[in-house]
Amino acid sequence: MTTTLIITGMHCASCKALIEDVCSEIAGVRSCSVDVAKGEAVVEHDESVAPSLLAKEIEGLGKYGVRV
Amino acid sequence: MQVTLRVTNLTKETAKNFENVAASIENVMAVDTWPGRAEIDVLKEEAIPAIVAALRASGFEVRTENETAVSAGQADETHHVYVDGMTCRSCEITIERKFKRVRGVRRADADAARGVVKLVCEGGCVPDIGELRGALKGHEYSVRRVGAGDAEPQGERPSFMRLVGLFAFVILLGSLLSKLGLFRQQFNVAGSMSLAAALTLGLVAGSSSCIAVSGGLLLSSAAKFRERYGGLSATGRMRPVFMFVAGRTLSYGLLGGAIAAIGKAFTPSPLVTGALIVAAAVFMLVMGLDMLKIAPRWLKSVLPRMPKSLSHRILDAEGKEHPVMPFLLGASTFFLPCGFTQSLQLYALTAGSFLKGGLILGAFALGTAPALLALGWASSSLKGKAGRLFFQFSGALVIVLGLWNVQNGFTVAGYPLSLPELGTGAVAAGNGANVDVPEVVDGVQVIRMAVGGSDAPYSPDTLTVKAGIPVRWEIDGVNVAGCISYLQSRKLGIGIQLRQGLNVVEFTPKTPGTYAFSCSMGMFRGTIEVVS
Repeated sequence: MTTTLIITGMHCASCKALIEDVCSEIAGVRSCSVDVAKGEAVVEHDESVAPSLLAKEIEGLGKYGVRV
Repeated sequence: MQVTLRVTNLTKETAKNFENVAASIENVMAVDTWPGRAEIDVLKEEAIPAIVAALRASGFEVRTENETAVSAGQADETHHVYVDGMTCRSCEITIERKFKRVRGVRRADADAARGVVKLVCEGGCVPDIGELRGALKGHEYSVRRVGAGDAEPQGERPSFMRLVGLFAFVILLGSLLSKLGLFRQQFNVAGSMSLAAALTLGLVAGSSSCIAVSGGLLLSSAAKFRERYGGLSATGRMRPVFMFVAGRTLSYGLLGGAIAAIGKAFTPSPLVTGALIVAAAVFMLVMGLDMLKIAPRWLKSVLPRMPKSLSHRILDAEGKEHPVMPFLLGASTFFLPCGFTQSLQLYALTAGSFLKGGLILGAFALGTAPALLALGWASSSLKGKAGRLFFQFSGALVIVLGLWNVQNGFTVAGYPLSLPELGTGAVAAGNGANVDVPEVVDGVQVIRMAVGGSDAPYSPDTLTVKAGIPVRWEIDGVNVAGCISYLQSRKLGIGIQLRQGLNVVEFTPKTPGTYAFSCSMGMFRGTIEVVS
């Protein structure tokens, strides 16, 4: 399944790299693509992964706000 | 209860397998995995050794946090890794995450502003630069070098008291040297000149006010190189200094030859010269603040940076700076005004041939080389406490020189600033203002001034005239040499080469106001008050 996350607080390419990196390491995530300009992340993942978990992991980085 | 296990070979691929294996072990209630780490809820503490043993039997390299702590407790080592390309908080987090996965690394602490990552490693483990580079593969960062743990990265911000002390020392030294007359060295370039004389002149200039500009530039860049590439060998660190001097010598030779061939001096208008001095001064100021680590963050982002693609190309694999930068900087010093170089450029004008002009100026630049090399050597080779002190001293010196040159630059451009006397003390000391409007004889008002006397560079240094009446300015050249041999005032449209003895300048001031005049460097200053 595909989940689109609205992420606030991103400002540069490093943010994109960081979030994609973190996100794709979550067990069950198949791919993750972040668009800094749109403030979105499109995540493809197994049914077993709850979107709220994705949000929690990204928010865990400390400075981003995430809405599913 | 929950235990955290470090599992070195736990990756995204092996996670599922690990979870299955762990879940099947007795007393395990729940398993959660991360790369290199697993959290396991166990029923009772006593079961932990058995669980660890079972996981090891399944091929996982497991250690409990306790074991790690113990083995690390013996000798936790801190290493500083210098990483280029970090710009923001996200970069810091990304790099910390990547480095934490490197074998043996327990903690990573990145500082984007300083370009340093502090790594805490398990006892006896020295992070391998190749491994660290591998960890950052695919990212736009480059690991420059791994420094020894105990030495703090170069250039910690000095304390406030130390800053006060540094500046006090620089200013004291400056005023002392100026009292000794170091900034007033006067040399006459007259008649024909041998190469040996040009070389000697260079030697002298190298230890005088001339070094204030080019030395400041060299110091700020050499010190910067040292800070960035301190890991290089002694010769490696001296390379930028040599390049700077080589660039300077070559450009003096070539441009000196060109002047002689074309027969026209490359002396831009005072406005351009002034702007050039100010630009060099601002560069020095920023570098000085940066060297002392007191530059605010926004200032660093203002600093011009080379485009990434370009800097990647000129930085080779070892992260050594391409010699072209200091070379160009050295070459550009030709255009920075200095009394000696200006007299020599004027001489080269008369030299008549490319070869002769080039040789004269080349020899002069070569003469200034020893002083510059010594300065460069001191800034790049002193180590430890002495090195840091010299580095900080250079920072303060560069800032003071920068301020001084800002003032000079504005004066040359015709907008004198009245900054407080800056250490060097070479600034024209107020020497009797002549406030009386001169008598008008035969429709001309005559003002008199002595230049280069033993008491003051310009005496008097403030003159008063009436607007609308022609002025005859009689200038007595007592001892004109060096930059003082050129008198200029952009606003009055004056620029003349002074000779020994009587010089006459005639002009008619139209609008009342204060007009600045100065030597070619803007180092010696005076004003003409035009009243209605």
